[in-house]
Amino acid sequence: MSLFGSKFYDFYTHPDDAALMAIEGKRFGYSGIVVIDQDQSEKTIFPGDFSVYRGIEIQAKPSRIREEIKKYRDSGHILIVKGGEEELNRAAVETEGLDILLHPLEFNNVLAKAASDNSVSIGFNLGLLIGLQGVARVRELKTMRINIKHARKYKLQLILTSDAHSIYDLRAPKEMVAISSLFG
Amino acid sequence: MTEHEAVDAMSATPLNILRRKSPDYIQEGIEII
Repeated sequence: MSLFGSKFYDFYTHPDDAALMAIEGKRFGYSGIVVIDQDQSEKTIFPGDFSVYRGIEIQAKPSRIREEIKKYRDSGHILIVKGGEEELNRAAVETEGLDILLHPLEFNNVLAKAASDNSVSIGFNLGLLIGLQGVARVRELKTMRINIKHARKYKLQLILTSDAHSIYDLRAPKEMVAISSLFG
Repeated sequence: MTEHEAVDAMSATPLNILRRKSPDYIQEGIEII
């Protein structure tokens, strides 16, 4: 499949300077980014033909996740929960309104079915792979292989993110495709 | 992840999410924040 002709988005970035990230993102071939948990000043100037959206990363105990998702689901922003243990992941995917469960550490058929029922996408954080080395990187690759196996079975929508905190963390779409081939 | 899945994961899925949030949400070139 050709990379050309598609519009690419990175849905998980945390830039200090969103305008600079937008300029670099556009140069790399992205059409838009999601900036997590930042209110931009109205004076911020973004490049033309490039969209910057706001994302909210919900961080809470498993018992509070449902309430937090319900609180923000009508905000119009992209809602993301960074995955973790099974209890947290379960609370997240069982709540309608969540957009992305990012890199769940414990994922299984039951959670995949719930994610499918509630249209929750499963995110793969490639920035994590790039930043880690040795055994830690192998462990994350193994987690990603398990996640994609369950995601395929239930035809879940997948998301690739760079988790970029600066322009130097950003990767071009072709590089992201190449890295993603490492886990199945 | 296959190349096809990876391209979809950076293009089709994000667009689906944006469309789901609101029909008026996608305004290319206009910052929404």
